[in-house]
Amino acid sequence: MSTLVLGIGHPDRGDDAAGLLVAEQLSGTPGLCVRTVTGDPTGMLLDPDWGRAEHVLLVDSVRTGAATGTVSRWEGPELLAALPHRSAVTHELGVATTLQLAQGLGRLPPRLTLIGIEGACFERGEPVSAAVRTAVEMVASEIAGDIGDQRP
Amino acid sequence: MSHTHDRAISVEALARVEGEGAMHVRVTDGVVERVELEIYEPPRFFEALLRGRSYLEPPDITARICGICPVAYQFSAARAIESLCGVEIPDGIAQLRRLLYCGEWIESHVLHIFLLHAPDFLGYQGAIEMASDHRELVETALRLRKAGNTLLEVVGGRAIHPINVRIGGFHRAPTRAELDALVDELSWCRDAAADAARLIAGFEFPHLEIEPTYVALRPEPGSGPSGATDYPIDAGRIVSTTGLDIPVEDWPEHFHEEQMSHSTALHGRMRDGGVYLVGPAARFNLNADRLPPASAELAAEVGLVAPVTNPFRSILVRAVELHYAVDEALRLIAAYEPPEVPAVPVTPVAGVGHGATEAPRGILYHRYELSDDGTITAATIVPPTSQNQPAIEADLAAFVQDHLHLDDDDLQWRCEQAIRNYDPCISCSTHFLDLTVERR
Repeated sequence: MSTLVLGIGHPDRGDDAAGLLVAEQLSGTPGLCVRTVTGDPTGMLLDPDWGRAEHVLLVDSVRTGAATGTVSRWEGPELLAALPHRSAVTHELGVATTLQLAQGLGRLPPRLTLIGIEGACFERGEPVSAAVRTAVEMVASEIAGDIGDQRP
Repeated sequence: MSHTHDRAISVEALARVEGEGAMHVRVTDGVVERVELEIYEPPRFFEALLRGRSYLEPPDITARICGICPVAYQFSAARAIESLCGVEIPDGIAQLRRLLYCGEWIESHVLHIFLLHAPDFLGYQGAIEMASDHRELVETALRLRKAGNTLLEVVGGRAIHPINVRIGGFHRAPTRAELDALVDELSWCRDAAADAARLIAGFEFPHLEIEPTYVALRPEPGSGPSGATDYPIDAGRIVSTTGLDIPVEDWPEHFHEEQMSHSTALHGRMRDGGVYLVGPAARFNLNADRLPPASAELAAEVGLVAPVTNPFRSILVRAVELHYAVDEALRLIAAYEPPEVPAVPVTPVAGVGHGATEAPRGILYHRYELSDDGTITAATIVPPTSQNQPAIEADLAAFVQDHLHLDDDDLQWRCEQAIRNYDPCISCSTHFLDLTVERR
């Protein structure tokens, strides 16, 4: 089973870097294809590995009101249902719009997962908080472990 | 219930990408009395923020005003400061700037043509709803947009808010090989843009004829490749369809901004009080003769003839400009020779500098006052959307007047489409209008 991990975020906006840090930790892990997304996320739909992957795993920072560092997981239908409905894209194409476009285009992978790491500070130039760093370690370890379990 | 006599339409929550706004329409005795398009958060805080900063900082600071056209801000700022300081940018660096600007035109025009505006003509609420029925169109858009972003990344360092631009040039010039690697994809993009223009030419365009004054840049003769003259992107004199032809430094004598009681946004007007339009239609109407043969032939093929006076056909102008931007990028890459130095020194000079370039949405004017140590003492930034506000309101009034027979929902939808003709930053928010209607 091919798995594509997409670490999403901004490297210089505090906890928004969480997804990028997970991708960094997973880089080179056997059995995983790992990418980072720092700009327009629609481009990821054109990545050949998006089309080939049986499982696309998005890792991003989120704000749900939970405690900083809390890790949440949403799977395919549940994830798509939770996306804010916007009938039209704006000048800013975000992850939600990208997934909705993928759905419309019939480009959703067989399995889609979003792992969200609860962030607290997203200010420019701020460091990643300790709780998020701990969560990054945990998420990267879990993903690597899952892949390890699947390997013969 | 009458739809045509006394009506008050209030759209309370317009928000452009950078801010928020609203639209209000009042109809009395079947006559449109008032149309007000508000914007709450123009980028004016940046003008105050720039005071006291170094003359080297505006490209990086003003780029943050907009995520879709940061290059326009960078180069209008650079031109203003460099012209004041008496610096002539070497041709190699100037061409590289133009190439970066092409990337911005590509990604911005693609977004608006395919993902914001086309759904209006194809009968969808938006691109997401359109995707399943027009898969090829949306996938083409994503691929075109990615190519524009890649060009921005290679020349500008990153796609959003490029970091490679500086006063005097660039921090680093790309290698020949880095640009050559873009050619195959851009060649595909040129064909895709032409196909898109042909498709768009088949859209049904609502009837609306306007006669504003169009204002655009027009490069001076001989400034283009091989002695030809370019279509305006990064330079030019300011010209209008009413005969204006002035250097950029004369801008304040002919244009000004004024406060409006219904909006915190400044509205641009000509000094004589006239409204005017900037943007693709203005550029095309004043520079159609400057399109190179390939884009000119495409324009003719799709029936685009200057002057374009129906704003709904602006999407077709953008499609031809998209083709031009890709074609121009390919030309610039083919001719590229890495400059000896990526930037030339710029020593501050006390005084006032003016700069204007053609952002995807139209002329973006910057003015800076510097002290002799290069400290900015005053800054003025006039974005295209501010300039177009009065004309958009006038067009909306005419459009509403002709469509009073529509019910409120339909009228709102058509008004949003009419606003999107101008691709203002608030076009984003026009999708989120919460319309309330009062009838008397």
